[in-house]
Amino acid sequence: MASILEIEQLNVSYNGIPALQNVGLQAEKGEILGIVGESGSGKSTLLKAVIGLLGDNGRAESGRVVFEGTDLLRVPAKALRGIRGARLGMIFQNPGTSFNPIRKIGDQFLEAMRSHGKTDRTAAIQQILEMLARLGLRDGERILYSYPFELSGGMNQRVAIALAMILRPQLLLADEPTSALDVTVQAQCVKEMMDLRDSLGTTILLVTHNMGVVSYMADKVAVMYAGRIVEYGAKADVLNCPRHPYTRALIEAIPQIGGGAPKGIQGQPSAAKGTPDGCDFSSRCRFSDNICAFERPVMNDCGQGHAVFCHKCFSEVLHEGVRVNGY
Amino acid sequence: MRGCIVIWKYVAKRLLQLILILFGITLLSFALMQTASGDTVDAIEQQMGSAMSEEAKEALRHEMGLDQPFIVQYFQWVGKIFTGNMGYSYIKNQDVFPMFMQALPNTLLLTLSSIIVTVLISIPLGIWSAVKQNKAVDYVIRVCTFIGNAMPNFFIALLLIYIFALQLHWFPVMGNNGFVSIILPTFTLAIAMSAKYTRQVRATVLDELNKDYVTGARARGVKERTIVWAHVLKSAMLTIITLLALSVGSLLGGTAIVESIFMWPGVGKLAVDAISSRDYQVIQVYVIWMAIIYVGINLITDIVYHYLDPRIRMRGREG
Repeated sequence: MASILEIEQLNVSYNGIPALQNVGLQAEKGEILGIVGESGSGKSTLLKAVIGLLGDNGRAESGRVVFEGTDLLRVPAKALRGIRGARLGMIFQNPGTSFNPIRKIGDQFLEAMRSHGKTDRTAAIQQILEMLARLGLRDGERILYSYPFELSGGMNQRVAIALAMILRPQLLLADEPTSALDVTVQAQCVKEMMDLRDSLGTTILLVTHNMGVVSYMADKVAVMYAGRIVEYGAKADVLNCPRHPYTRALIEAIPQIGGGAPKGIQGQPSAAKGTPDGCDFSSRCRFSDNICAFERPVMNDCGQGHAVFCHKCFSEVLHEGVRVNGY
Repeated sequence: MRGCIVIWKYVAKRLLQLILILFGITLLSFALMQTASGDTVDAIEQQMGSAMSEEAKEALRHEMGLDQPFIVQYFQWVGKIFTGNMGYSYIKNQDVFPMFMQALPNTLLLTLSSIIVTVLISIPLGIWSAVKQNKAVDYVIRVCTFIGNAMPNFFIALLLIYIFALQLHWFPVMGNNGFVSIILPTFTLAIAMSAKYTRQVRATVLDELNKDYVTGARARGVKERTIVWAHVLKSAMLTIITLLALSVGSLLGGTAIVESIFMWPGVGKLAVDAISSRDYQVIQVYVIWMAIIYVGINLITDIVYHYLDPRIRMRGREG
């Protein structure tokens, strides 16, 4: 089956400073790809690069972002606008702020739908109410006549998901969709995104800090560090048998109820420097030796699509499994 | 709706405030004029051009009530206002109120025309400049606004008079001869204000364009034009209206310099003439007018806000 999204050798920089380096990944129809990593590792930049909203300072230097056969980096602005919102949706980290605070929710829905040729108001409202109901928002009528600030954070997030899903996009970019929410609402939003995937076959790129959400939702996981994907593979492989020392450290850093204090990762995350040699993680890595400091690793294929950007990934010490706290 | 009740309650409160403010401000200005050097009778003497005997002056002071204690004079004056008598100008030898009402329409007209021209110039230019940030158009507009800001009102006025009245003979130099006379004073005021507002609109629009909701709208595939006109401009209007209201306030007070240069018979010119001839009765009425304008403009701005910004409207409902 052809991939819905194929990213190849993507390089992005902000004001000339590299933020993404040689990023490559594929997502199939109906697949949920979890992207994890520390703040500043380039997760959000990756999503913004896909939808073409890097802002004034950001620039995709090279590479390809092929969505349903179209390279989004080379498509004219007008065509890209037609794709955004219709076939490609995005949920932002802070749902409330992606709405205009002084316009009613309903107007913002209708405006997005009108932008993609859905001009029949009655039909559109019917469709919006159905989508809101799917997301457990029964009083859709009231919501449509509300301003964003009149709704709670959890409601805003579900409304934002509904708005991103209203035109049934093939690909949904979710930038930490649950991090601004309390735990019970988180669970609900996660479940609803899963339901939408199951019923509409939406592919989801899910960026999150929350390893629990990833282990529950994702089919595949990409771990990012300093603007690179350092480990990539099926969820079970990456989370249960992490081959990259950074992935291991991330999993060990998850707090467990009844467990001891979580283990942090030593040192500060390095920026994506684009240094000619050496592994970006080597200065914080327990397993690093000479080769890590002087030679840049390559993506090693460990079988079944499990790829690891590390010199040490085949060493025995990294082969014992770790278990992630179930969601 | 409850929101409506809240706003009317608020208006009532503001009107009550207005009365207190008027009381305070007239008392203060009355007191200031008492302490100012020279009195009205001396001014009248100068005006007449012939000497008056001390007895005649005293008689006149007594007739005008100027020999009464300050507070008595004040309340006599207030009492007269309530009967519709705004006082008599001994300098111009006519009632103050008709004088004022004759000047007011001219000022209102000039205010209206210059604000309209300002809005028509500064909003499109400001938006254009913001949307084309750091492009050639933006630099040209910014340089123009910089020059406009640097030029004082009277200089613009003289420049316009020189070019359009003296050289091209398109417009009269001064006076009020209908439509053609208002054009130069209007543009004098509008050029200076547009320079200020274009920058303001640009800054506000840029500020709004960087907000998350704009990114959100772009991510939904909303057209850039819709984003600017339906989202950004609506938000930016809140800031712009506040500034415009302040300008309307000072324009309604009469623009002394511009009205004097063009001999435009508005309240600004009336006030300047009154001050230079120590015509206190006229000054008093002018002071009342200014107080009414400022409180009134604030009130109107708040009401407009109430309708433009739902957040303020809702807060009112809770409070």
